[in-house]
Amino acid sequence: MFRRLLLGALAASLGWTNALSGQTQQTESELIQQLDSLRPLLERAEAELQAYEAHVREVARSWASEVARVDTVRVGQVRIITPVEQVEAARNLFAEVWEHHFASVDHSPALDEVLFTFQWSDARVPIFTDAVGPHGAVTVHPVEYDSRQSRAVVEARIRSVLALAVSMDLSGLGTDYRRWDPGNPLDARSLESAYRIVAMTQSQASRACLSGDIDACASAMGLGTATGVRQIEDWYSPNERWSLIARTYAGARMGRNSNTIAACLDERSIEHCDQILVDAYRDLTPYRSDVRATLVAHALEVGGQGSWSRLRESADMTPSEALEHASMVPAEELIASWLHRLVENRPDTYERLLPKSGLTMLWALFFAALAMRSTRWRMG
Amino acid sequence: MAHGMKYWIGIVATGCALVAIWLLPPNVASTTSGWISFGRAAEIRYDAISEEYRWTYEALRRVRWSDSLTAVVVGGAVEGVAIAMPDGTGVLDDRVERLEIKIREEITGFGGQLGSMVFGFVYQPYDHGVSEGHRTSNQDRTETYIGSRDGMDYCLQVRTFHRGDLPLILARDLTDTDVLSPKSGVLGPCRFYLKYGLAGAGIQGWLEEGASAFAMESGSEGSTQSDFTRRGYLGFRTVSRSRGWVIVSRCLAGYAEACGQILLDPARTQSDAGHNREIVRRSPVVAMGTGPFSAYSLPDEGYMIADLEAEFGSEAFGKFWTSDESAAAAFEDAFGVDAGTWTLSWATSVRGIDPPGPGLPRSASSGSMLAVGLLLGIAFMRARKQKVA
Repeated sequence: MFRRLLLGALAASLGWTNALSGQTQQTESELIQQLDSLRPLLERAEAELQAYEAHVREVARSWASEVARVDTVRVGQVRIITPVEQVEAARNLFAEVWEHHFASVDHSPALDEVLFTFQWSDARVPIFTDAVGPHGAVTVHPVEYDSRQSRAVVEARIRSVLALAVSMDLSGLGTDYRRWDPGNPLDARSLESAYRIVAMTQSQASRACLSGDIDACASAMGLGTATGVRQIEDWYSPNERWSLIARTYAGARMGRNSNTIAACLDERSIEHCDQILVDAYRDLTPYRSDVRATLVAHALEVGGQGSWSRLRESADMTPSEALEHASMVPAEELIASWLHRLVENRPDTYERLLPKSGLTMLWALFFAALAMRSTRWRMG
Repeated sequence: MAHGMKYWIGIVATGCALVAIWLLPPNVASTTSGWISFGRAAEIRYDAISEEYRWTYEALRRVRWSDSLTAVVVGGAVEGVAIAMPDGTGVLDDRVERLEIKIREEITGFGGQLGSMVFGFVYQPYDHGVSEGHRTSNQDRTETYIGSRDGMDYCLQVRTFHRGDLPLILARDLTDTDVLSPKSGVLGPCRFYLKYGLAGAGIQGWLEEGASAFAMESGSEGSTQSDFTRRGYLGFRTVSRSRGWVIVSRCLAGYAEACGQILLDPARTQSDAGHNREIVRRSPVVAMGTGPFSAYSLPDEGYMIADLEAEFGSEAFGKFWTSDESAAAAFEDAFGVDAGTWTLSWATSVRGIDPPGPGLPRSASSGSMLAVGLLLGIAFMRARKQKVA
């Protein structure tokens, strides 16, 4: 009964077709004629638009050159364009962020392709650049805030744009590593925050990992060797597998036409649930890119100076091999030390007195004191 | 009024006046980047022409697809069903075979007729046939083609996909999930064509105007949103009304005439209709389902036609489906009720109606009164105890 038809090298047929339509359909020759008549109009419109945009750019550039005095600062490989009065602030902030978060990056070819603009002031000026990198025009990443923004916010932005720019170094890594998707390890979340995610992940592998099982950690990270149903069985208990499906179809009217889905949901047949999960082709790895990024960040930290270059070199390696190469320690040992650090950074489970509770209490006392005074708002 | 109070009221009034002067028009034309933006006639002109060019080009591609795909499907169907895909995509035959079994189960499940019509499910790379220098959208969607070829009626569901994603797309079809959410099957609008044959001219025109969005899902039993779920505790969830189309808000406020407009003139409430309708108008495509990205105007509206069939039965629905009259006349003639009244009752049953006006829903106001009464009672009891003491 079954025959799979292939569409390869398909030619237009000579059969007689009559597509049903309640509307006015156009024939192939009419459409081709219409395209031919539109093409010169489109080309002219495009040329006019380009000329207009070039004019706008030129006007803006000449205006900027009159009102803005800017300078270029270098912090290692990083180039920053900033108004002259902010040169010192730009240099200090970028240097501080680089030192704290990018110590493993000895050299980044991607940084030659980017420029950063920096303005932390209420009176911002337009900044234009004609700079080019080894492969043409550079990409400009702005860091521009008014003076009300806190230093922490500005530093976070600097870290984020630097991480984005430097991470382009990894774009040449093999598909295995990219498919594993470790996010951006240079802008990884804190271990305290990662602990919360790990602790709240509904997966038997994750629970085993937190109990100290290194193989389970590797599996939950997507670094295990099992595949298919076996891998899903490692990650999730039968109940968890069923609830993964149930959550997808919860409250939905749909999906019940499929016998497999009905058998999984209504009869709780785990074989059918597994079949759906394998078919679903979704990334079901318990730890997502936010947690994986902390492992890669840890590998870079363990590897120290030069680890970034080694990670960059590991183009054809599997994710595990790339981590070993970057950190220069075996994967198991690396995961064990990551777990140790993660548990060390376990967040407090209680609410601290300060600042939130303390501030709330102070405000409550303040309003209570006001309420006890005779009020001037009384009418009459 | 005490002198102090007048003083404060004066300050507040002055503050309001200053804010009004600051914010009310006329405003000075300016942008955050610091310079004024002049007219952009060149941009408007380029956008308009390039859009027209794109629609025409997309329609041309569909005409060509239709010609070649129908040849493959009609010529190669086995017992009325054909599944086609590009060669060399590395998809396991057992998955394709399971998909075919699923399709046949779905068709026989609702009494579809395969003898007089061929059903084809085709996986087509979204950029198939794109000439050099042309761009096209890589949206993952299913397009429906209806017609006759060499004397055989056909209904094609053409699933477009990004090259390399075929295993993922096939998996979604096997598990009845779309990009973000579950769906009820792979047949889409073809379900009705397979059961009732080609639609009458009036109904076909209506479907192509956008009503195919109401036929995307197959009818199946399941939960509808209860009043309690929708309104939440004490009904406060509905206090902030959704900001959508006015016509949808009017329908959900209980106006039958607005509900009728949604059903009979679907283009008014579908934001992506502009782009899709132009392609549908010029090409053999009759529906461009875009899964969860389509601008469904009412909750569960993809089920409307299936629910209509379930409520009035096959005979009345068949009369409606094959009618050559306008959708409004065909609806009333077949079901004995006007489209607005039925749509309102349908919306009431699947979603519930929020009375219009600025007031709180009855459940919210009565709940609030109960809560206030309870608190007053507690305060009274407490005061009484203190007095006795």
